[in-house]
Amino acid sequence: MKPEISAHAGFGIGLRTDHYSDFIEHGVPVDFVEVISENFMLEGGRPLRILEQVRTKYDVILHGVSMSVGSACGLDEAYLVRLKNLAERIEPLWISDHLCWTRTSAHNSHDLLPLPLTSEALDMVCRNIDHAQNILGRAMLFENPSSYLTFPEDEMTEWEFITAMARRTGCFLLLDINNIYVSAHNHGFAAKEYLAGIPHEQVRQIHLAGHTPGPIIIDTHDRAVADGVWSLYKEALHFLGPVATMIERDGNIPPLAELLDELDIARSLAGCESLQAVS
Amino acid sequence: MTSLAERQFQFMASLLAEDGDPLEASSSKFDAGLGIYRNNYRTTLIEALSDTFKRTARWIGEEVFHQAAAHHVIINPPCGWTLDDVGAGFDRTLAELFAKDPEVSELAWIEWSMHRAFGAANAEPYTTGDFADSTAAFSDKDWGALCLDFIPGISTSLVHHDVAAIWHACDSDDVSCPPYSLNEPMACHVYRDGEQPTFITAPAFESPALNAMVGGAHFGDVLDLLFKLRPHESAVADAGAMLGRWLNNGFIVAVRTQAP
Ligand SMILES: [Fe+2]
Repeated sequence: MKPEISAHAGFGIGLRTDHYSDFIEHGVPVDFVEVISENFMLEGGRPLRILEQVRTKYDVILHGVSMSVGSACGLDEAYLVRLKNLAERIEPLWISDHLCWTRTSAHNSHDLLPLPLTSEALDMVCRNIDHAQNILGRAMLFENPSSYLTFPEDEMTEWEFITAMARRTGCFLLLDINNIYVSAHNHGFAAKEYLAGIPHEQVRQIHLAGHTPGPIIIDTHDRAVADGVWSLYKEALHFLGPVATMIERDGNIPPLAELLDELDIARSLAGCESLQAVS
Repeated sequence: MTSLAERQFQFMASLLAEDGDPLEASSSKFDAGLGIYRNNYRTTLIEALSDTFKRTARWIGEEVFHQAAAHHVIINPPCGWTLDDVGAGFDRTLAELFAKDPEVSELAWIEWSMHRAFGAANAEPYTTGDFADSTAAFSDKDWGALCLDFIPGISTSLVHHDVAAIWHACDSDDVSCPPYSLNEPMACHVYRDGEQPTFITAPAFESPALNAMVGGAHFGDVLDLLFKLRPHESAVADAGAMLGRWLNNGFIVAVRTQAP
């Protein structure tokens, strides 16, 4: 039985190099920061030192992009050991990754690739999640990806897949509201049906991010959260109640104040007061 | 092989393919989606290379660099989980593409080695005082049996161009200069000074010497190498000066004697 992950109702942002000094030298009004695990799965040097310094002031979430729980070839054991070492060093609130695959036994795409929504894929994802959670000695969160295609062999909806995955493995969910918005548009399903269909009690975190509009919406994380995503966030809160929420920005990184303003929108939609900066 | 494994191999193959190689029995909607993944794949890898090889990109020009990076990604599709490894062998790719401009691959080798040093394990360098204490009672035999442990991430190569001048020319965006050929090759050592990767040039013999000692050779082996190149006395003096430079630059983290 994996330890329960307690609910956390705070607000945070993704830590990016442009803002390192803001976080270390000043007090940034957030309840947690999320970092990309792989950027810190190093032997030594500056990034690890910075992360350890940040950790003395803020709760940290380790968010990975390379676990590849959707890979038919299984997980990379050396990767799991490195991630476990980082987790022991940082003591994160939790560790998350994506419901996707990135690698075959021969190559790595370094991209979050879509899975056919089949019982075969579900069995394999559950096996891999069980293995990862056993090695790490803790339950993880998995994030719904955005996707640009569906497979003819699909047997279920993504929310049915995720529900079964959470039920069978005991994993928790990181719900990316923007990703639901993007995939709903790209594949023509109702985002509200998705929100209604997932196991709400398993959701421990929400991502909010920007996308690039078009006939196929691209999940670029390089601009402000879109109005439609804010509306969907409000819908999600209706189902979920208070849940850790963060702004995820990976490109065109603006000054920190801009991201904190967006986080304040999330706070106000959730009925929470803004935090004051502390130094 | 399960059908999922097959699907993933096919999907990966179509990402890696040089030109659009649509999967069998796929709809045009599927192909449109696949096109986005293909583009994301290439963009991510080329951006990773641009990030690691900033000065090389400035030296050869962004557009040419982009073509070289795309070529590298096609012939060396990534295997490991870390995007940091995408630049492995890029200096060799550039050596082939720029056979007439060999300074390009030397510059890329330095940037790659600095990238490796950036995340290498931490270690406290030996000071000159530590070294003097450790070797105070050394006999000639002990000096011959001396082995050194070096700071993690250190690497060395021979260079045939004034790489420091090229480096600074890139910093100042003045890349219109001649290729700075050297009359004699020099050693170039790349390492991390505290948290900052950097490089220095040194007399050419230091490169094989450092490589040998990183690989576990004794100081005596290095002296033997030098005795073949120059008179006994100047060989001993040069080897001593080399050790002094290595210490001053913080290359050495431990001193041992080990019977040959
Ligand atoms: Fe996300």
